[in-house]
Amino acid sequence: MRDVTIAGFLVCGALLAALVVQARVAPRTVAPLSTLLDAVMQDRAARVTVMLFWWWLGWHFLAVPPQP
Amino acid sequence: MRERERGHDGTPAQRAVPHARALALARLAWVAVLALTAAFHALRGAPVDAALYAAVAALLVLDQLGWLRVPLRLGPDRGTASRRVVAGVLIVVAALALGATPLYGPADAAVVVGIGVLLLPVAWAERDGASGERPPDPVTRRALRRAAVLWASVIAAGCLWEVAAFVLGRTLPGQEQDFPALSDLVDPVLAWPPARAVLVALWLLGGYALIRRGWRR
Repeated sequence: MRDVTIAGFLVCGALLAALVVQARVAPRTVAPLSTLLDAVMQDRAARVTVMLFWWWLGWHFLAVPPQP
Repeated sequence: MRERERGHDGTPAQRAVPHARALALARLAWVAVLALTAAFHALRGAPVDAALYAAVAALLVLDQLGWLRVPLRLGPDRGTASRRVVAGVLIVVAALALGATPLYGPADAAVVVGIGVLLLPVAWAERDGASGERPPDPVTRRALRRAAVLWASVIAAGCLWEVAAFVLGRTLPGQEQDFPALSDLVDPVLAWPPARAVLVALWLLGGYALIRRGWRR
């Protein structure tokens, strides 16, 4: 079951990588992530939320020890 | 006849009403994401994380209601070569420093909290040049919408997978090994200083790339 759980994370990562590749091959079908972020992050609510999630990664993995 | 000549979009004033409504709904969706995350952290026994997400959600609600006026404004993005070099040097220094110091130590906490304190006003500030240009053409708009749906779907699926692994690993007795959460997989990697330095550099690089988004180019 452990392998299946890990495979789920790997599949998500592979799908994100596929989106990056697809946007590079056909940017008029799927917009590149940079263009999407430029459009989305013009609004404060989106910008603050995205940045909070990014910051929390550092907080979670570097500053807070794992729970027993 | 004139109405027909204008097409279905109507006058700029008529277009502004549904646009404002769509914007308010989108902001509500971001607040809902924050509130859901706060609830998850509360359930997993991380009250500080829950409070952080709930506080930011509350700030955004107050802002949307017009009850919060913070006159912060950033000038146009100037990603000059010298700024990129300075950012690159800072990222490398921070990554090496955090790789060399003990994990979960005071240096880690100071750097992460310091970045958070500096980040909030930068993320909150209105950005010059963030509006006023003509909207994208229909093909670009469709490509943007498709990208938004696909990215959001994959990220949401990943988050659900993480929540499921976390809940199953913690609630089924003796099943933590079978259902590792992402943290359980990443923590052993972080324990090795060189890998920690690389991951910190990637994290900081990601943040630098994100903070430079949101200006129309």
